[in-house]
Amino acid sequence: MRSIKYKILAAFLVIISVLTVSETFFVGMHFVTIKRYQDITDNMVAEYQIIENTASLISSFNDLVKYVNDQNRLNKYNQNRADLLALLGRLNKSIATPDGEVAYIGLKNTVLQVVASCDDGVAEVHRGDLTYVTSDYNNANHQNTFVRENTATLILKQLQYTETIRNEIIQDQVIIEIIGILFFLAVILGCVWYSFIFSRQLITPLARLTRIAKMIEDGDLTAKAEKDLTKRGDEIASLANSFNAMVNSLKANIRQLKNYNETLIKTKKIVTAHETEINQLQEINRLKDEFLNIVTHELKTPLIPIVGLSEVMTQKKQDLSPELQNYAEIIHKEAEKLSSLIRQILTAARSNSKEQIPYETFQLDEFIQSNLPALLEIAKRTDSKIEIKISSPDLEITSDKNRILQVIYNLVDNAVKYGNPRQTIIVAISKPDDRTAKIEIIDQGKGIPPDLKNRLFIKFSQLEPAASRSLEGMGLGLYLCKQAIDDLGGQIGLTSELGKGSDFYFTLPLSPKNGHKSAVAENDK
Amino acid sequence: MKILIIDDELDTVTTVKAFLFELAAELETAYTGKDGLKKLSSAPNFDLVILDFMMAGMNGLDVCKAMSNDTKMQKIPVLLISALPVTSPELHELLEEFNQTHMVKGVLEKPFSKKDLLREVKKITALTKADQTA
Repeated sequence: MRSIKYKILAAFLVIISVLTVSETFFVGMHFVTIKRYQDITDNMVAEYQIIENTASLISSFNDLVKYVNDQNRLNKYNQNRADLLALLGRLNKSIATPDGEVAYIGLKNTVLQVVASCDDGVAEVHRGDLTYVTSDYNNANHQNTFVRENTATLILKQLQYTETIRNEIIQDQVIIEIIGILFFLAVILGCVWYSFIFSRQLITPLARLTRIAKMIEDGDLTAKAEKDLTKRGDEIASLANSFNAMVNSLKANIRQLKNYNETLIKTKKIVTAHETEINQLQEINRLKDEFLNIVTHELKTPLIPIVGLSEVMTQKKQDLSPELQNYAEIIHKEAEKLSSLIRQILTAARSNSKEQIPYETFQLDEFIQSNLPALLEIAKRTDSKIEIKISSPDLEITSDKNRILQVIYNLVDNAVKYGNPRQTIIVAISKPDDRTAKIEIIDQGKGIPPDLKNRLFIKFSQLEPAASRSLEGMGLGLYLCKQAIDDLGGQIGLTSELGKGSDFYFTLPLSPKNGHKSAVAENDK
Repeated sequence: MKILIIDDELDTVTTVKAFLFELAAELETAYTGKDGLKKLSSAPNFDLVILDFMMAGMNGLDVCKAMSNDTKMQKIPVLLISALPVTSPELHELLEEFNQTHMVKGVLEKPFSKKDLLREVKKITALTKADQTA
């Protein structure tokens, strides 16, 4: 896997290495040359030193002549001699040019002659023979002048040599600087090349990817990174591949979202249609209730004089003939029936969507007692009688009068229908505990077989009276009786044995469960 | 006992009067709410007002509101007559409005029996007397 990074790095390293190596080489050479230069200049100092040393030698020779047996002075002479010869030896090693060699040999000879003269003189002094001392001294001095000359020549030769070395040094410096500049240029060039390559190999694909992204953003989902981007085998390729994967995922998501949106729109349409329907139905309901209210009033208003005045008439026995009394009674009875019927129809017709029917607080025993005439009418069909048995007189209950009445009507109707003719049907009202009232309709009929007992209170039961001919012309099935009692918070049931008649009973709570409203509550306080 | 009957139905008024005959009470009648209020303001010593709710012009509620704003009429109890079943939610809602006036002491559903009427009348007047003596 050759990535761009490595290519660029390799090229760069090559150039840098080459430049570094050559620079090192020239720097090394430069140092060597400088050393040579330094050596030569050091030598020149030493060479000049020769003059001084020869002078010292001659001087110490002279001293010895004056102070013949001074050991110190003798030591000093020896020391000077040694130093001079040592210096001469050192100089020998550092002469680099043939010219210099020649000069050096000349110098050496003259120095040695000086030394020889001095040695001679010292030996003579030591012997005590001072005859030729002066001439030795003079010889030494004479040679010394040559020493001076020779030294000057030598130094001159050395100086000439340093000229050439100096030039070499300057050349080296120039070369080094040139290499340095080349290095610098190489770095610059490397950077330029790097950015050129980089831009071509990196930025361009990125720019292409960006363009593709923009196309997708604008909505063209067919755009994707082409093979030349995805098959490069480097980081760009990874990016391009990831990019394509992302685009595909995006396309899938968008498709799904479109589907959801369509579903949502459809659902919304259905809901709106239903809302319209519901609104319409509510409006119809409202109109129906309005109608009902008007009808209620119009039907009930004439009933007041019809029911009321006929009642009054039945009570004014003294003012009417028996015949007219009878007619008044008939009118009153039928008016009552009509009144009750209208009441029930109107109540049943009211919409069920309203709140719970508020309850009334009334005396249960009184209420049932007051409806005895109607029950008697039912019983009369089979020449039967109704007996009301009240075991607790004070039975104040808060409940729905209408529904209780309807249930009682229905149970009595059943008792009459399925019981024996000429029987006595007992309506028993009791208070089994502090919070419950119980009403039983007891007949002396055939009784109900045990297997049928369970099926009685369910819908469409066979024992349900079809078109029950109760007083109001409206019957409730036992199923509806159960519904009504359940709604009122009570329980309905049956005790029966074959051949021993049946006892249909229901219980009711004396006060309603929480949340149920009472009519006229305020005014009763 | 002095009773005022306010109802726009002539036959209903006749019936109510017939019902109340045995009480041997002084009976006054008015066929509109306005008329009723006039009678009440001229002689406010009535023991009871029997009031129909649904009337043309001023209905029963308006009458009650007017009565509650008058210091003398405030104290007279009202027995409301309505065609709405006592167990209906509409009547219940209606009664809530009436209750704000604190005038209505009883409600009868049309058509009512003589017994019902007499029971209510006796109950209300007894209550009022008890309130007054207390």
